[in-house]
Amino acid sequence: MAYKADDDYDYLFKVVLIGDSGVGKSNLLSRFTRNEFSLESKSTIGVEFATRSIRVDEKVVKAQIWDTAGQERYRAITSAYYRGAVGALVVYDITRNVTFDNVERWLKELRDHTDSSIVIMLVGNKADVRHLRAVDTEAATAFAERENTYFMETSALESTNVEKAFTEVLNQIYQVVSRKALEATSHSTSLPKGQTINVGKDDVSAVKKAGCCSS
Amino acid sequence: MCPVIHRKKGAGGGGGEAEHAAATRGKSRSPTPTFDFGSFCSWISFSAGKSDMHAQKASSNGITKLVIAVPMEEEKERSNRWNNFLDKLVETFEAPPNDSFVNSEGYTALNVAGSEDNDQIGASGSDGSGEIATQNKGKLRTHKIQRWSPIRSSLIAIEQMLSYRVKKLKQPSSGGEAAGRSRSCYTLNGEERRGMSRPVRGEEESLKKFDDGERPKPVQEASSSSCMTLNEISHFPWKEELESLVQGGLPMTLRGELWQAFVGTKARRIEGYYDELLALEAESSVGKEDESYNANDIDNNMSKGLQRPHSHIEKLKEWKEQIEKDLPRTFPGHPTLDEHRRNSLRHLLMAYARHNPSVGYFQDMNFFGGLLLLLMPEENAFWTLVGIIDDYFDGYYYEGMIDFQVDQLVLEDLVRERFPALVSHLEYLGVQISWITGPWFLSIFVNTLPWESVLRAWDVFLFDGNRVMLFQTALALMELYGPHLQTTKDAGEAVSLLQTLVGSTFHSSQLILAACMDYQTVNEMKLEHTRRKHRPDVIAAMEANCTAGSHRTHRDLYPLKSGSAEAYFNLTVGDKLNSVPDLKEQVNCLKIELCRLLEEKRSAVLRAEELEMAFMEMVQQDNRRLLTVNVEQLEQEVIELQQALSEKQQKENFMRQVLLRMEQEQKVMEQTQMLAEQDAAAQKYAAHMLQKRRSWDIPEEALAATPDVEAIAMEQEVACKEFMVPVDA
Repeated sequence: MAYKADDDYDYLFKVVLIGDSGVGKSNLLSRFTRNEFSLESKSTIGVEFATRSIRVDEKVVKAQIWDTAGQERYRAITSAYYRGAVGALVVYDITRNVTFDNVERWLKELRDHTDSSIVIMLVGNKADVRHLRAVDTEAATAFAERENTYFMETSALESTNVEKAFTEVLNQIYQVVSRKALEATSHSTSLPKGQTINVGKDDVSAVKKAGCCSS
Repeated sequence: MCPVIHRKKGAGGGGGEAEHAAATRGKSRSPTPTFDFGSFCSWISFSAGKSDMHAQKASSNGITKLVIAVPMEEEKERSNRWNNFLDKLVETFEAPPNDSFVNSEGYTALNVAGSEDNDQIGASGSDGSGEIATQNKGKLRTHKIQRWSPIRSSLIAIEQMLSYRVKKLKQPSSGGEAAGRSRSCYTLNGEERRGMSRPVRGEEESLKKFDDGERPKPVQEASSSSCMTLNEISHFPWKEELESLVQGGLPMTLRGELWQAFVGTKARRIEGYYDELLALEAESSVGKEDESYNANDIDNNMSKGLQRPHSHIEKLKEWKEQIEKDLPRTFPGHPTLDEHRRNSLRHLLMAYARHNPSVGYFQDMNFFGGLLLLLMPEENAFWTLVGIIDDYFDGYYYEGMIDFQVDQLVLEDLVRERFPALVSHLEYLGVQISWITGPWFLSIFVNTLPWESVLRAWDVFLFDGNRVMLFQTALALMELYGPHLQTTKDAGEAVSLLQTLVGSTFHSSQLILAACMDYQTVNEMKLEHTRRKHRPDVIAAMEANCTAGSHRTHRDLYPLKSGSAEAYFNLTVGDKLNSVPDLKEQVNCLKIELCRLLEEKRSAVLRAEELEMAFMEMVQQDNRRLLTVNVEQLEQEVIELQQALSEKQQKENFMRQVLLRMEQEQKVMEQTQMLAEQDAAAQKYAAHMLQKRRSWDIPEEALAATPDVEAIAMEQEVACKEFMVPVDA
């Protein structure tokens, strides 16, 4: 769900980071939100969370990114965190085939629990470890096309494409949301304005009349 | 920076002598310590220093910051209190078989834990339990680090009191055959295995306990362990004092050993079992690991999405892989958790996975293991971990994590009961309480609270022997952060507020005491009662998902009201159509479809509610805006009216003044009129008199003149005067 708030941002988008354990989700998050990378990060328990605001199309978009635990055991719990997400980065490790194979399961899980308009980006992380590459870029691209998701290879360590991946997701969400908003306004004639408002208006006019008479 | 040195400095008061000795001993520790207060503290202070260096990082992810908040005086006072208590305890407790037991007591109690391996063994040897130690020592294999050491003798009374709880060890079967059958036992599912093996183990354990005959045992102890439960309070009059001491915090020097005493590590231990597990592990890792790894991958892929029939070996592989991944991620950058300790951690975790395959390995266990290894030797840590996970967290970490989910529902009830406003605010934000509290429970606060608080919570938690402390601490935290939480404006803000507590600096004593005192009414019985209420819902939701064929877990941690409806549907439809096997599949499909639809409906309803709420909020805001506009207009009109009024008043005043003046003028006119009339009257009179006189003297002339008199008054007057004067004269 995206909703406008009148603080320091125009839009707030909830984005989830999912994928097998150890593919570098937490480091992608820390690279994007704090520009930090740690080779010795601790494993994520349950869910962790960070935000960053960026500018899209003259609007301030605040991304609220939920980083989930990767271990299979915790899926019973983590799926609860998906609710309300408008974007997702499904991460795999290009050096480990099994993490790529599991992407299909992650996608299914994601689609089971979220709105169909969710923007999904497939992310092949650890692109810097070239000599150990196990997942071809072509295979991943083909897969992404088949699954109708965006795709990018990143390296949280070298900071390549991380910014781009997140920004792209946020951009796409913004497009979806503004398209939706446009549709909403064009069909909004039937939107009930609310009786409470009308009552208020009547009051106003009554008062106004009285005012006119007296002057 | 080692706190031991601080203590030395601060030791001015009573008991300074002993403190001194302890401090010096702590400094001159052997190069390969088993467990070591000094290094543990240096670890903490190191980490604190590290967090300063990366302050920004620490505050943002809130995890790396390890703050030790206890002032050293407090720590000193704590250990004094404990030493006094232990001294007293030893005096009142049944005399142990060895004379040296009492004599060495006061000294041992003040000894810094694990300051030197040899010292440790020497001290425990004197109380008669050295047999184990020496045996172990003889067996010490490739490791330099000692794997098992009994706890100091002064704590045995406590250990005995609490080990009555250790009735149900849940490992595949008896210790003697430990190695062979862990595999075959895996075929049984968790429930069955637990049900079957528990009573058997209980008996064997108690038998073993008494066959040992190695530690000092009072005569009464020879009775069965159930008697212990009954007579618990009469046998241990100091239990309450102990409880309050535990709530006040354990001294760092005794913590590791006291924890073992609380968990009943020794009573749980089966000699040789751990070594056999390790031997099994060593055997398997020599084998064709790499080949089978790939095969495993392929299997995984083929069965993915369906109920994947993991063989035992596959599971072990999976866990091993996960453990290897998590080893460097356990308290990363920790100086004391060196290669040796990490190796120990690897053994410990793999041994546990083999010991209880229905739990296996989960992320978090590495933190538990790491923490325990910092406080005790490897095998002690293993049995303590076994105690915690098999006993304290029974049912928590099995696939599906049912008990965990039940506990979250129970906690939600408690929070709702006590802080209704907070809950409604969180609901308004769309935050489920378990998002916040889930990680607390799963990690027993490790990585979520400052270190001192974590240790203090563990103290009480391990002493209690159940999960009540988790609830109490969670409630205390909710109370502490409730007001702040209620000011949050979106879900993310709310969740991250309570996720970054690691970096916050609150007084851990305050937290723990609040947890224990304010929420005394939260007890195991009550919790169990509420758990029973929620468990069917959770299980029903789980089953609904399992029947869905895919391995996906259920949508919601919180089965809403419709959860039970689903279960009901499952039952009734299932019963009716069981007789038609041909249609069974179809029915299943339909059931699944219906469940899915119900779930969708549920989420749609929820969403609608959310939207409605947001809409109402917007409408209210709109109304408010209109109202303010109204009010402004009204105010302006009022001002205009007031102006008009004042103008009118001014006019009125003016008119009144004019009127007054006119009245005054009128009065003046009247007065002049009166004067004129008076004059006229006087003239008339004068004329009359004149006429009279004339009529007397010259009546004809006077009569002729009378009509002219009034017309020419002035002339008459003058004439009168002219006439009068000569007459008078």
